[in-house]
Amino acid sequence: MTQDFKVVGSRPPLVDSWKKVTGQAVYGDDVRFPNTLICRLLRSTQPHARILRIDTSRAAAMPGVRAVVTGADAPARFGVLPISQDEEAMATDKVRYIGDIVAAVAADDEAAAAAAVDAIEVVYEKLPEYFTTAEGLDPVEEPIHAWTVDGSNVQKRVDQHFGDMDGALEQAAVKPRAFFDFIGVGHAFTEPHAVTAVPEADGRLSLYTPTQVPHYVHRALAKVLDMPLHRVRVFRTAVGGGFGGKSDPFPHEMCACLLARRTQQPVRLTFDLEEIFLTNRGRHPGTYDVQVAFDEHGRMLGLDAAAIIDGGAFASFGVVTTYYNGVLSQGPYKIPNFRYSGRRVYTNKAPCGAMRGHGAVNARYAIESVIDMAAEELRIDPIELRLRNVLEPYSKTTNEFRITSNGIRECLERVRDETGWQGKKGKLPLGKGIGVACGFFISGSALPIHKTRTPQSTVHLQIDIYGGITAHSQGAEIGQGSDTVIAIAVAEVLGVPLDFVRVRSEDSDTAPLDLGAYSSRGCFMIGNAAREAALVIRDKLARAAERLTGHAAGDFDFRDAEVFARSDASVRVSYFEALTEALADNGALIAKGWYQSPRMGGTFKGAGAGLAPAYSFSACIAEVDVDLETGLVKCTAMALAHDCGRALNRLAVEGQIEGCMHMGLGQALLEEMRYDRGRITNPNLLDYKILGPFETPDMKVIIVESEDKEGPFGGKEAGEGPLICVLPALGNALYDAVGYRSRQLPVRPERVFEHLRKLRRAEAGMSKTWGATGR
Amino acid sequence: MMILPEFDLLRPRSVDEAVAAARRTSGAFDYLGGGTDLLCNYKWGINANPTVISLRHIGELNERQGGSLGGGLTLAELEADEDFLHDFPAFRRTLARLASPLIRQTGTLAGNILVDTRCIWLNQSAFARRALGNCLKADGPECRVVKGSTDRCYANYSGDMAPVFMVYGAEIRLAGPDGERTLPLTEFFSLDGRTRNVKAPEEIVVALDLPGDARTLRASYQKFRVREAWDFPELAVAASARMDGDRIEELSLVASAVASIPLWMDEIAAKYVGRTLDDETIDAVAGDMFKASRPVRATLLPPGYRKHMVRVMTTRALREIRGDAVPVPAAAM
Ligand SMILES: Cc1cc2nc3c(=O)[nH]c(=O)nc-3n(C[C@@H](O)[C@@H](O)[C@H](O)COP(=O)(O)OP(=O)(O)OC[C@H]3O[C@@H](n4cnc5c(N)ncnc54)[C@H](O)[C@@H]3O)c2cc1C
Ligand code: SF4
Repeated sequence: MTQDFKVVGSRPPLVDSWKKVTGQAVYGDDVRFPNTLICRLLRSTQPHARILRIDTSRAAAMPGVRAVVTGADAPARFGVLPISQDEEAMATDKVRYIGDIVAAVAADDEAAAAAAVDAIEVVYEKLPEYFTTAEGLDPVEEPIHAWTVDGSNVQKRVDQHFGDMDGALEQAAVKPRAFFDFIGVGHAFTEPHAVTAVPEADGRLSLYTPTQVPHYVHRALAKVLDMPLHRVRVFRTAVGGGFGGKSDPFPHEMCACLLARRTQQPVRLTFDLEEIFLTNRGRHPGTYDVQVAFDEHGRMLGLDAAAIIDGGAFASFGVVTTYYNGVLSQGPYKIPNFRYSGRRVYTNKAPCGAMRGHGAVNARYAIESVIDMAAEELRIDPIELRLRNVLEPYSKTTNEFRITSNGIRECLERVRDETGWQGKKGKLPLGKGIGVACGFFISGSALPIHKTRTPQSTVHLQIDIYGGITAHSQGAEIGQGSDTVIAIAVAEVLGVPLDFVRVRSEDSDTAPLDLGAYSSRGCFMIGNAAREAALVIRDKLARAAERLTGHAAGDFDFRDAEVFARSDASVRVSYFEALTEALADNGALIAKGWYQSPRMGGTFKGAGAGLAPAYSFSACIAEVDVDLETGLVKCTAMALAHDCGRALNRLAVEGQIEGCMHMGLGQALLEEMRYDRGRITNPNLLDYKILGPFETPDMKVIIVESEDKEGPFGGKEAGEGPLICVLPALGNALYDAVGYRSRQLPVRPERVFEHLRKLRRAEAGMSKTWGATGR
Repeated sequence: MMILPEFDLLRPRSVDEAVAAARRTSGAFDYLGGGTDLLCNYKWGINANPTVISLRHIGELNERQGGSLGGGLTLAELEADEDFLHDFPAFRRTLARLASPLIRQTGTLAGNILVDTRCIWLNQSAFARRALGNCLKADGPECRVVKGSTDRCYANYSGDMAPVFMVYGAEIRLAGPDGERTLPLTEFFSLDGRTRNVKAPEEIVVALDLPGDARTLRASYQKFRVREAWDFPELAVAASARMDGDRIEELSLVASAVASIPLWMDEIAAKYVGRTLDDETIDAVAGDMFKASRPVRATLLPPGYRKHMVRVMTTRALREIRGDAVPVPAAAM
């Protein structure tokens, strides 16, 4: 492949950014149709209760109220995964968490809808409430769902063992083990869920929704509404942030559609912030018991991990999460022996799901922490220890993941060299610290959620007589830049400026199938599909140029809107001449390209989980400054090297990596969803604390390009992977600073303070000494 | 979406007109400054009233003369007033670290002094409160934070400006049905998270007056919370001193955001007048402040930790007064 790219590797602003910065982008709540009704939802105030009676008659009779629906109106179950369809549009027999939807109202305005919601009477019979995973592991009196394991609240069990873990532990020179506890976090995206359902004149139904997964929403709508798939239309609006929080089909989407169908009027529903937290699908809280074994030379012998994750009230992506918590530990190191036990337990809390770095973030924190402990015991520099164990490019993991391009070595070396690690590690005064960690993530899930041979991504191209190229795709642009990836791929192949390409990715009526924005699949899969489609067009244009010049089609190259012969620069026609010729006696220049992951992986149970056509790698170094009097931890600087194969758009890759640092540090230092008997106590952005401007460190982004052989122009993901190493780098830096190993996240200042008080008492034993600020 | 409850909005043009309007409502009203505090509570359905009387169109409230500051001035106006900041430098960082630029643009001085007490139980949506039950401060029988309390609310005083005004010796000017009255700010607050102060409901905060000799005080405000922007104080300490060399001639101390009002620690302060402001004195004052603060679980951070932080923040305030370099975020300077 030629290295000499024109558009690939440049730094264009995202193609949809103009609309966004000028306010023209149509987000969920910007959708407007005449005669639209406003929907409000009645939510359960009970964590777990049987619904004995719902009386909507008073609400339905109120002024301005047009319809009220309840669970009985659409009892079909749905869920993003076909194997765990446990959700309903509205609760039918019982409610499972505070916030579960019980009824929905459509009224002339918001106030009327809200008043009607208050007028619905529900009689509940309280059921035993389960707020912790511990109480759900064994059989319980009233399992939250009927299909749990042996009458417990366990939804999913995963047990895997490769090699001989006990043997590895026996042989080990060091085998640190630790127990970790993570609080749940949410996506905290800016745009609330906001949908409009529109009954079309021909009896079809359209849903406008800021979703990451239009295709799965489409399927779920058809099922719940009991409509044929072709009678449903899903229009993805501009998405104001998703991070995994908009990657489920949602009950509220069903509610709006049911009401629109009932009233035959458009119905709009916009959440407030609290409802975002109640809908959740954020990162699972969980506990991890992790042990790592090394020989005396610092070779990793094995990893033994047990995770119990708290799923909340519904399955969502939870089956995948349960696997990912184990299998995504298989990189970036060679791990000859590996044992994992994972449990996902239902609780009466808001459902957890996929969130940036899905399933890999908390587990990675635990692993990179125990690796740090091993480095200390072995007296080997933590970066050196990691370098001794990284996977080689084009190799295989113990659980048969096919590793292709792999820049982990370069990632580690560059963060080391570009932060002055050697001069800092172990040499900083008390209170200042530096820490390192690695990350590993899938670049698209190789297996689709639904068993099908339909390609995972398809892109259609159509060139008009004016030269403009319209690309159709259902790739869900959610701010991550997938539309721009399409435009870059097409512009690169056809040798035209970026503004020749228009991407249409909103409407299921015109978009060829794409599975959506999850599992970091966009760049790899959509990028490849777009490139394939463009190559088809390019071939047609080259043959047109051959007709015009008599020169062999195979020798033509495309650049600067010109088609020229590689072997003889004087043979050239303009892009337009070639296009006009190609359109003659033809009418249209249309092409499709598609991507389907190659077959790969083992044959054991669960072998498909975590398979990806490529993997991304990253390494992060964090520097912290701990206030020795208060225990407040500040991350002062962070460097992150990420192997994204090739940066198709450097600006976007940098933005993603910076976003990952910000989000990862948020979870490490501040963010937590707090509960009191099943009620979220901080469902707003004052009390749920994302990182502010003053807490954001100096950020250094290092792009590593390992040029994946199967990736589009060599590219791989950059949206999720970089987040994963951020948290453990921070944790390890904190340990370096004050000797405190935070086994919980977020790091709470009061815990650091307690540690510092103990330290002060045992001052004599410390290698570092208290400075003048110590009391 | 979160919508405001319906209310009548009145826009009087003078203090007298506003007071008269308030009297006509027989108590079921709120004054509105910038609304950055009040309207949040309205959206949450906390103690909303059917009549809201805006004070934004009353010229008298925006007057500024030396140390006399109209209650209607926005925090951003104060922040931009270099003369004021020069004369009373402890306000510089206080303002720069208060809420956010957007809120300071709208929020007023009087609104800040009167900012409602806050509580992790209460400051939630109506839905959230319904799920686990209401509390004493709004429609409930008892306090949820200090369980069993049926006569007192322990919500946290969370304004940043009052403690600083207190240590500068400010007076507060009120206008009500019976005319104007002025009282020391230290006597303005009165313990209870609901009533909060001695102001009659119809009384309007016209101004805060800083005494001329406050310009020669050395003061410091140390605010503790986990984020530099947006966050209300989890606790704060304000201190001022008049020094004669390194001898303390006058000392004022406030522990704020550890109770329902800013706590005026005059007894502690009196003990140290005449002492040298050395490490030993600072430790002793900090120890006394620590002992005198009894925060409850009304905020994010655990009360025990906040109590410890009173000691640390007192130490920092006194060190700053002494002229030491103390750790403050660079971005806020
Ligand atoms: C996200 C967020 C973060 C915040 N962070 C901070 C912070 O860090 N520190 C801090 O101190 N504050 C903070 N605040 C509170 C902020 O609302 C106040 O600082 C602001 O100054 C209030 O002024 P206002 O004019 O908007 O008050 P309003 O909301 O208009 O009024 C507040 C109260 O004062 C009464 N009132 C207003 N003016 C008068 C008057 N002249 N006479 C009589 N009564 C009057 C009102 O009736 C009401 O009871 C924060 C607020 C938000 C939303
Ligand atoms: S302190 Fe008690 S009474 Fe006051 S708001 Fe909180 S829970 Fe309610």
